[in-house]
Amino acid sequence: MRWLTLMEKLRSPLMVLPAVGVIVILFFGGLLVGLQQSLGYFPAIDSYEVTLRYYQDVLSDPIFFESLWQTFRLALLSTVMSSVLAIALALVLRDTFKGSRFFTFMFQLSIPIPHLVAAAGIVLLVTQSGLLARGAYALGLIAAPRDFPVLVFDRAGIAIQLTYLWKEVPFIGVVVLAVLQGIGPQYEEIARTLGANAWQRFRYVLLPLIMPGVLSTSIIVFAYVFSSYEIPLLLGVRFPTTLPVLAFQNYQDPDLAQRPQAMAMSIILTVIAIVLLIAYKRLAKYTVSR
Amino acid sequence: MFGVKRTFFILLVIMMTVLGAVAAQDASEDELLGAVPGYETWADVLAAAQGTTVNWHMWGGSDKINTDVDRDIGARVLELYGITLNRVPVVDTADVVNKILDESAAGDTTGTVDLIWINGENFRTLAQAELLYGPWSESIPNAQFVNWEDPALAYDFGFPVNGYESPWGHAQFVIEYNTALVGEEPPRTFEALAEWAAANPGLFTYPAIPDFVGSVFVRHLFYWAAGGPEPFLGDFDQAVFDQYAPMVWEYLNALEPNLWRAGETYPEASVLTDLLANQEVAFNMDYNPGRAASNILEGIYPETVRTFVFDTGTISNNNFVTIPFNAPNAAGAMVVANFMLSEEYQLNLTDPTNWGWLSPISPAVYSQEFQDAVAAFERHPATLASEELAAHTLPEPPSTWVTAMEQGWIENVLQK
Repeated sequence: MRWLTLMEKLRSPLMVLPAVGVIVILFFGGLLVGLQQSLGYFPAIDSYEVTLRYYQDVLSDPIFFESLWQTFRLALLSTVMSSVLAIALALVLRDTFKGSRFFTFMFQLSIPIPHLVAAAGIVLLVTQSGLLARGAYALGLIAAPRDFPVLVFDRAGIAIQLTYLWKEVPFIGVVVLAVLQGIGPQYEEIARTLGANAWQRFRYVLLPLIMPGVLSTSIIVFAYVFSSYEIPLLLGVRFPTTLPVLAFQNYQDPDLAQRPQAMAMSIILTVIAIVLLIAYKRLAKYTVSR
Repeated sequence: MFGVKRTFFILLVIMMTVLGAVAAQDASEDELLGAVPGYETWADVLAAAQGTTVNWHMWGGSDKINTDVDRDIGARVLELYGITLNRVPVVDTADVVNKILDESAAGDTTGTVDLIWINGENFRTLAQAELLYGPWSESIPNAQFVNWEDPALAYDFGFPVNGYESPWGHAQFVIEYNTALVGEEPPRTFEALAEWAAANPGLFTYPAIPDFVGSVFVRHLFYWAAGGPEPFLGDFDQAVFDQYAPMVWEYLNALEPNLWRAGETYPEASVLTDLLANQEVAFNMDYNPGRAASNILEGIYPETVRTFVFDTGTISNNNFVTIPFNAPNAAGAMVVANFMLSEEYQLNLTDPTNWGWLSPISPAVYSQEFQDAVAAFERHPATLASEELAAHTLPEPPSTWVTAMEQGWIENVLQK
């Protein structure tokens, strides 16, 4: 009998063990090696001394902070813009209208497409020799393809933002749409009978209901953008670049002595990301409960 | 009808078997010129390589090189030696170095990489960490064709080769320019280039370091600042570096506002190729003097693209392949490297209508037919005569210099 209750208690932990095991071994294993190397413990180059020197090097470099700011700016802008657009689009798409199923399908189309493919598509579209520039040139809107506005490899990161928007708006939107469809119209109808106008119905009825969904997805988007390197590498300027790109460039340096610095950068990046996520969650909870 | 077909088929099989046997006979006549780790004779190497797969990690940024490799190396080693060549494209050779390093750290003695197309800096990294198989490259049969006395073959970016890598192609830096935008006479000195860029802003740029083409462009400026390559050919010397570096950074920073995008960013090498193809810029540059011609023939570049070398010369070097210490198929890798030094492959490599590269081997060591064929090649107008290239050859500095120059560029030009 006692054996049985013990088994009952252990059942859930045992069942999640394989999944947790994979995460712990693969993720924390890698993190641990990175942490070792960031502290200068790197047997491949006969370096065994444990030191905080590489962290000092990284944190005393103004380039690091410039990149950190770039990373933060990109992540925040993409998350906020994606969330707002996603909510707006979900509000439109939840109603049934002529062709709404088609539009909902089109809206979700970009979800399974990889970020790299999206980036390649954006380049073909908006570069100065791209499809849009050629179209504008053919229509006589611009005198030469070179006159097309600079949207890719630009300091503001417009192409990067476009790629993230194209990928993340449907991602957040699908969740919001599902929540909206689950809620049904009754709450809004009650609010309406109590005299709430359209804005009030949205602000005080719908928004609190969809906020948990928006929050959990936008946290994922923020964390992803904050630590992703391939999009800024492909579509951004060489300098100033984002922190993941900077760390990766250091990691790729043929000089192995650069490796501990790259790892120190990555560890700092991880810590900042975790701190920001906790802060974001707190802030978001506070906003909702208010 | 069916009978005729079948007879024909059987005949074909017999012919192929006989031919295969003859080819195998030929191959087995080759002998090792020295010792290689793990094998007694070349026949042992061939036997071990038969029916295996060779994972060749190589820079994959050129569609043309990729298809050329599959056709003129991959298909041929399968036919001749039963080796399946698996070309693994990489963006940066440093990725492969990291992979091998991680395998070594994990105690992985049977790795995943058999052969690497490697550059001087990464070769030094692997050689110094003792992560290479060998020595082997002076022992494979076709190493007899290689002039190991030539410093450009005995040293890779100043680091002694010592039998740990095998050459397969020769490279010399050239500048590509579009005559429709530049005119017939390109700026052949750095002074003239700066003047041209000032008069025609936005039409010149160079790939961002750590790209190897951008890196070699900056090395030329060091040679220019010092009036020649001599100060940079010995061991790295910080005082010498500090003497010439400011002049280089000053030149490049003054040039920056006149570059493509006003120097706000620098393109990737592949993007720069697109920019020239789309006539967004007037110049590009490459280590392969025949690339412009092949790009014109492929319809990528406008017909009006030509190439030039600086009056003070351009840097040349050799392409090498190397085998990591934990290669699961070192035998297969050696057979492929050996094939890449064969008369057959070197002819395809130098054929301007095929690869259009330069050969690291002097044609005199091959057969008369080879020499006649090379002499009969028709040079595309976009490719410079080999005499002109040879008259303008400059050596590479040791890779320690390269690292310092690259780091200096990032700090003093890119981040300024």
